[in-house]
Amino acid sequence: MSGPAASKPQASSKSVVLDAIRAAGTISRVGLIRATGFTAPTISTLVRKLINEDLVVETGHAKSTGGKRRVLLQLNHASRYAVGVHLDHGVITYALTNLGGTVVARISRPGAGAEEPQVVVARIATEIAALIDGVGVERLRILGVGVVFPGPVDAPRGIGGPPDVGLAPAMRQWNGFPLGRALEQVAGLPVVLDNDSTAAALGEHWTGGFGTAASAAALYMGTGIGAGLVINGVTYRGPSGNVGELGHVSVSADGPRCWCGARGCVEALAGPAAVVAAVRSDPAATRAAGLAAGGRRSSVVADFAAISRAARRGEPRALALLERSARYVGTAARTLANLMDLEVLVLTGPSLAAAGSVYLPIVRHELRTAFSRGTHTVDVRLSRSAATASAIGAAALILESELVPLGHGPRPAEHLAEERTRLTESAS
Amino acid sequence: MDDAWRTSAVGLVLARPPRLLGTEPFFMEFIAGIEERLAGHGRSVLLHVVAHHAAEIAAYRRWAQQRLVDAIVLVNPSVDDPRPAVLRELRLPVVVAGEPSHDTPAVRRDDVGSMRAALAHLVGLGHQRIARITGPGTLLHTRTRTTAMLAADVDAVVVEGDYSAESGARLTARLMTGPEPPTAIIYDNDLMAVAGLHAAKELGHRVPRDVSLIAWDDSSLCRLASPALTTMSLDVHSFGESVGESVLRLIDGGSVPERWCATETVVARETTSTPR
Ligand SMILES: [Zn+2]
Repeated sequence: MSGPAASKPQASSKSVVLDAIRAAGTISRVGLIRATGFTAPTISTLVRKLINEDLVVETGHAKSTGGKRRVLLQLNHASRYAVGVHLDHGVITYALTNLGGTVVARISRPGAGAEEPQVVVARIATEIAALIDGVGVERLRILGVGVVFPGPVDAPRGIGGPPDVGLAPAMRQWNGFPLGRALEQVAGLPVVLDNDSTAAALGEHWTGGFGTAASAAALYMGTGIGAGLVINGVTYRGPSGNVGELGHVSVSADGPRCWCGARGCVEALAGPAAVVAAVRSDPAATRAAGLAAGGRRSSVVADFAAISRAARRGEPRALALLERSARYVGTAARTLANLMDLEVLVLTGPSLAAAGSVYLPIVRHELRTAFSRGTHTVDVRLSRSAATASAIGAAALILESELVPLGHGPRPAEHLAEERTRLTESAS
Repeated sequence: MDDAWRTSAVGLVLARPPRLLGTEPFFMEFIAGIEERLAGHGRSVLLHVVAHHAAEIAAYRRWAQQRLVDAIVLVNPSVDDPRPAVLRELRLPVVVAGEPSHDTPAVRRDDVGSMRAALAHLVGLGHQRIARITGPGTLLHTRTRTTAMLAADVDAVVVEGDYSAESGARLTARLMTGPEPPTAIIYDNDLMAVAGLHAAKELGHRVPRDVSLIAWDDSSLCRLASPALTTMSLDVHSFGESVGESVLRLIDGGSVPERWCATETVVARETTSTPR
């Protein structure tokens, strides 16, 4: 099994219950009846199955509300694990997470570079094996491997889209490569593929970063800019995986030509690479940010992080360039919010891990003029795990596809919200 | 097929209860600093998050047996720390991030100087009755900061928290509703400070007019709080770079000089002012 998880069949009622438990954090059987609409005997049977499979454990009691005390259920976090791989030109990041999507181990290794895909795949398989050994988890508890990269997933189970479109420029030798099948053969584990921004959004969803929002997005900034959408609890992938290309929202019809072929894309005008180029064109700013001089090669992400640290130290040029970039990014984010009626926007990715405190207030400000403002605000937050978001999302991809296959339709978010509020109150 | 990164990884185990979210920014920036030094030498940091020291020690034994790492970065050195002896027994070279035991190579933080700087900022504004909500008392740097605080010429109150938001809120409320509330509170991390700020505001106190607050570990949380928190700021990335430098020396078999981080500085924002 691999390929876009959207091709999964209808979820079983067992996985609906498991997902309700995941979403709530802790929940009673009565809460599950309310959240899923299933009958008490059905919930009782399904919960027993989940406990027998070790996926769910009973954990203490909710405060009594008159009747008998309710037993609370939660995911058994240490019962299953997943490996997430963020495959990129400059660096490959691995995360091993538990069932709840919490990082148990992480390592970054040299990127795919110009190596042949087949060679890189062999290396990824050995590095995954070492990561699993290093954590000391039995192999049978590993559900599989999610791999994400800066580009669309092409059916069947490969990377790509037509030549020279879709994939970020540095990754084009991967076009059409059947990554899923190749890695499954070498690694001996199920493999699921996705785009890195979409995965980052799924990671937020799985770990609770979107709360109960019906329309939520992750704004991912690494080398480029992307967005992932989770609508009614389901990741939106579009028919060809070419979704959420926020970096290629044009903010100037007469702007400079972008690598994608269009003009005035926000990524070309104000993405991390544009910020780094602007700093590097100014020798004083380059020195102030401590960027390595021409000789030493360094990545856009590393340079952008150095510029962010300089801004935090109060370097005016670095701060001004980041604030300018943030206004552009906020403008594109407002377009996304207006198109999708967003309730939550989470800022994530390594570049926002570094510069989030500059971007957050500015993006928030830009979203105050979103169309939905008469009805609801757009809640803009920083991800709790921005630096490793894509690799965590890659792991969440396998957790979701193995345990809660998509397609079970909109979930009763308002019941879960209610349940969560009550539990928070009774826990304090 | 070769042995993946065996012979090229440096291990770092973070032992912390799972509920302590929010420690990510500090450690990810610290690790990015280490990685920046190691990357040029084809080396990586293997981060492993566990719940407690026993699991941490089990990881060291596993890694030594599998020859998975060349060296260890030991974080959060504690009182009666069992880990250095285990690492010696396993012959795993180690660099301590913080106060070393015996003659272990270390990159140290100037906890005494930093605590004095925090107090000097508050005393300079006119504060005398100053409380501090600490991290776990088992950590060496918590004790060092406490000793430095009690030696200073202020009316000090020290209460022990555990880095969690919950402890920050609860202890702030207890201090502020006590018989002699402090005019300033220092927190040992960012999570407790942000929660403490909320708790103080909920009790009807105006910050900083009624009580000044200083957070430790400058992070987005502090910068984005309302009002923005005054913090003690360490250059975490360069702390990581120094550790990376020491690790490279250690692996090469050279002598490793003891390194010190620069003394932390006060970043004055909106939560400190003269007492009422
Ligand atoms: Zn474009």
